[in-house]
Amino acid sequence: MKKNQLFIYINIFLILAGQGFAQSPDSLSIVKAYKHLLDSKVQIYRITRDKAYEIYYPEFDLIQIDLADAVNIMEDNFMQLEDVLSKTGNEREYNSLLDVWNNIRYYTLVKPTRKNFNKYYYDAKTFEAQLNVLLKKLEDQYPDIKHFGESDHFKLYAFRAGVFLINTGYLIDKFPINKSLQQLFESELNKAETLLQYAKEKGYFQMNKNPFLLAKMLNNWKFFKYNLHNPLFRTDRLLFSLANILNHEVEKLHILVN
Amino acid sequence: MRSFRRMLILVMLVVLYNGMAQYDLKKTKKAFYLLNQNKILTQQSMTNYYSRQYKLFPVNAQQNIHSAAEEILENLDSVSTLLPQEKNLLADFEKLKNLTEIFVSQLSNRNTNLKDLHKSKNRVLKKLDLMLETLVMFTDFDESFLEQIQKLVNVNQNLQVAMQEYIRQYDEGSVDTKNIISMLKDAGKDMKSIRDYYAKDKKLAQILRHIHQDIQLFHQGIKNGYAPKIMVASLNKSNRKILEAYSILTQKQQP
Repeated sequence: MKKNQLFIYINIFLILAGQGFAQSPDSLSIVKAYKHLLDSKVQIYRITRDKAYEIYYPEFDLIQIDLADAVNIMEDNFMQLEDVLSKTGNEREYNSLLDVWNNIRYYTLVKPTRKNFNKYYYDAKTFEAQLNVLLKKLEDQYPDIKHFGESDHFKLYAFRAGVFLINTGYLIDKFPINKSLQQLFESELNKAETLLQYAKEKGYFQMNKNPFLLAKMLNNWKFFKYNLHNPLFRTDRLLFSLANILNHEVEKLHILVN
Repeated sequence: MRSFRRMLILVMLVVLYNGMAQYDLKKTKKAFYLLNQNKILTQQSMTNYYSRQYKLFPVNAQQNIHSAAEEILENLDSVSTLLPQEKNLLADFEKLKNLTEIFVSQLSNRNTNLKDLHKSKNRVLKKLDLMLETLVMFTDFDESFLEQIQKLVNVNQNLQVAMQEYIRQYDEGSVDTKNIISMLKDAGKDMKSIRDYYAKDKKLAQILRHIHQDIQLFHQGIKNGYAPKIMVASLNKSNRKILEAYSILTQKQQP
């Protein structure tokens, strides 16, 4: 009788364990989800930048194209995240993030004004804060991720988001929207410089398999910085395009190392 | 003893007959669900065709057209084994299959004229409606459940047609905002009603809320004159959510 009971218990345990294995995502899916989260941070600041440009350059034809691309990437990120995160037990955090995104998405299709721009910016900040909660939870659940979170890739995602924040900060500095946001430009520029310096010191750039692309990216960064402080020409639209180019080039550098 | 045996055989025959009838009912209901799903997919693939032709997100659109076409044909394949053996219904189904095959082949052709595709799509939808009307007579669906299904299919239809019209008119440079917004308002009303009906079902309520938000988002974008590309960026998600809601809703009624 006891043998039989033991046999039944073992079977139940194996079935439950099997279900657990079948439901928990593999580490590759988790790393991918983590990258989608980091990329979402980049896109959210890209959207904020687009909305800032829309206030002063409503006729600038690149804005809506860029906005559509960013929204498309965000939707794709969320689609990928939904499948993985539903299996990690982080639905609550995921839903909170989704709620903030839905809020931002709605305002994406409202004509911005100086007055409501603050709302975009602080919604983006809220999104980042919620995103950090989710990242932290994933890091605690999956220690492999933590390693990724400390890597240079992580810094380069931050650099990409930083480029859009610098671009936004530049406009805010030039056409003061709100006093509380005026420090944004210099502080984000300093942060981006520190990140690049860190990546250089860590030898990340030596690891890269495409030195040509890397040289091009660094050159564009110099040109971007030069134009941020160029008092002679109206370079606002050029900066918009340069920020996009930098984002795209750094994204390519990620892929090459992967 | 002999009469007891006769009784037993009679009871067994009644049980068997009932079982067969239940089995047929289940099959007919399944056929109804699949054909209704084809109505949703047909409209969604049409919007994706617009998205590809007007170069909004051509790569995404191409993938979506391909997977929708595959699903439409698979559904028809399954329906062929589920239909009640009724002469007129089977004849209608053969016609539907032919019309759908024409529509799908036009969808996969990049050079199909949009007017021709519309005609073809309308023929498919008309035949689907006819078959669904007949099929309902073979089922024992609850009235209010049927109403919810119909509303969800209508939401999809209004959303897709509004988007198709907006893409076309925006490209031509003149948008009849009033007409498009009225379609979205209708979709919003239906959505509100379905949400009220399923308010207690947590998972379904959340999906329905997201679809409703998407409708409001499109409304907002069109009102403010934003490019359709921005709205189409979110449309894939809405389309998936509509199919997900439809699947949950129909599973609830599976016998």
